[in-house]
Amino acid sequence: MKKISIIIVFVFCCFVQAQNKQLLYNFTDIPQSLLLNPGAEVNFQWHIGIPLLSQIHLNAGASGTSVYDLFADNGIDFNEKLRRVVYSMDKNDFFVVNQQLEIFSGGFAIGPSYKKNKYLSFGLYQETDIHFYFPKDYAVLAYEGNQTNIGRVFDLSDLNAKGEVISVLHVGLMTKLNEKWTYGFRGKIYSSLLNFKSTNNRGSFVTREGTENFYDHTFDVDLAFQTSGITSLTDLNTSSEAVKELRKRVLFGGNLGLGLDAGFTYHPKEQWTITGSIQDLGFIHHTKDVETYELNGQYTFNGVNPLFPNDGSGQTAEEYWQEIEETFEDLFELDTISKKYVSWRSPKLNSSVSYKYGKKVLKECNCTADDGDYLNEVGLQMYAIGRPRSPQLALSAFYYRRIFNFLSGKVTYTVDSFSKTNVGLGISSHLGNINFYIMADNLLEYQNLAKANSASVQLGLNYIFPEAKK
Amino acid sequence: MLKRIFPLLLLILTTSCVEDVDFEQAEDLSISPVLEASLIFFDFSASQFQEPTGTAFVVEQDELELDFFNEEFIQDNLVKAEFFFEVRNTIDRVFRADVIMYDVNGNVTHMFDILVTAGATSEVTETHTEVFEDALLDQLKNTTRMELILTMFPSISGIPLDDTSIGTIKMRSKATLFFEIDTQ
Repeated sequence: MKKISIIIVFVFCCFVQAQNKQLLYNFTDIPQSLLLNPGAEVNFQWHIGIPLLSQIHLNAGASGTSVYDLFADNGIDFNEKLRRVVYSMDKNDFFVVNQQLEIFSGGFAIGPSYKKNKYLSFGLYQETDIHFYFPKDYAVLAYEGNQTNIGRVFDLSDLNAKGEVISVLHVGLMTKLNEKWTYGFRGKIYSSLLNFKSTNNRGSFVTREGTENFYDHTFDVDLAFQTSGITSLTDLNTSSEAVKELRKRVLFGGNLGLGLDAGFTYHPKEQWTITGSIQDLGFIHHTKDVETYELNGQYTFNGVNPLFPNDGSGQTAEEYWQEIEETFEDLFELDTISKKYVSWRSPKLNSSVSYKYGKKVLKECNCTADDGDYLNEVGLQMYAIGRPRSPQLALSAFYYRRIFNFLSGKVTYTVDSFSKTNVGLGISSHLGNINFYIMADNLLEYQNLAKANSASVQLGLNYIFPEAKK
Repeated sequence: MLKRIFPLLLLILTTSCVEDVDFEQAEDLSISPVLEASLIFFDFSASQFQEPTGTAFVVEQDELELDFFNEEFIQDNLVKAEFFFEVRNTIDRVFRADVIMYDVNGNVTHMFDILVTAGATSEVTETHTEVFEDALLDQLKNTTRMELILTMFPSISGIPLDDTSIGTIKMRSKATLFFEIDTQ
């Protein structure tokens, strides 16, 4: 049954990955796995992230094209490549950039000394997230004009973009309920440094064969572009002033919001693990430094009717034309208003099913240590992120191996709409109490990253005091 | 072991590169959209031209401010324009439409006319395409005002036009604007 569902998933695949951290998810040797699942089963007494170095994450992707498609130095005319890109993508293709930097983080086990079954973790990180869909109809209109598109309705809702720079202060608590169940929650306070959002656009533009004149041009425009934190920056003179202003917003200085993560780890049997988590179920309320730009109106233009208008109004062409001009100006005049708004964060869902096996063989007795950990783990992971039009999904198969006591690694194979062959590799080392990890995906494309539809890398340094072995 | 793995990882990271890519190509960006827009239209019936003598010229004229072609975007990117006119006449009179374009100082930048023969027995359709390229295109870009003069010629047979006269004269027109938008 499981096989069938996997096949179905592959056949109907529309899997997309964006800020998917399939390598870090459930990699419980690394404290930052708690950020993906507050119910991740970590075993530390305490840890502290090396400030500014504990998690550096970068991810960029485009679902319908790659840098290479457009910028390949292959002798094909740039405009021909541009044409291919414009026509090969559709309105649901998207571009995404995501970056995270942990400023500080830490955690410690709490509970009675004989049974410290809770782990409190906290930190502050900064995140940039930009996501926009390919505005297909706008691109075609700009590329061709309307001459070859008489009768075609250009859908103005194709413009759909949002972006934000935020800082996140968070505290989470993981609880090991028993051998089978672990769960956790994380509360977040968001401070928005910058935000823009244009996700509810409506309207159309169409040129149709007219009755009185050759064409009727019909505009139906309902567009809005919301911003917060941007207007005040444009008033500043230098970029250093802007940086100073942004720094002020990192700790509660921006527009504030609240969020929640929740997750669990469950072992139905000793060697089986099921996990699930939801992140960033939250919003930001933008009240300060807000500016919204709006375009609104409907109008059909079919030309100028001069001399003696048939309607008997006695208008001259001049008056008639002025009326048209005013209507156009009204239609295309940007209304700038200060309006509070709410931006929802993009919630992320992670889940996994995995199986552990193979204990370490002890040389002395040629047997396995009963109390030892399993060295291998294989499983499947599912990832989803809520985006303006529809959730984007990714499915990964993974193999985790504890290579040595001080070194573990994880390999993932991910299917999403960026790629059907995304192989990722991550390793985590523990030298003394220093934990270093580095992970990257799309390794098959590493010989030429430009051909990759997406790439992500993350690395970090922590100081970990592990739980003593029982 | 670590000593072996880290160099390997480093190797992967450092050998990963972006090959055969030339971002400067973006400077060659050039797109050539073609826009079509309705221009002037009218539909007059014979009875609207009250001409009781049958021997007079009737001149109707109107003008409009036209700053569209002075817009910076048009100035920079419009490479060719065509005005297409279609006049259909079923009135038993000869018409001439004169289009006169003026610059901001009131000097004529360009003019052209469309002569339409009398549509006595059947409908007469006259088309006219005015192409603006090179020097003429510059004249169009200098244009701020356009005048349209419709002249009705006297009847050859001296028949007057009144409320009972039949026929119509209709004009439809459109502009085709050829753009070349590049980064230069």
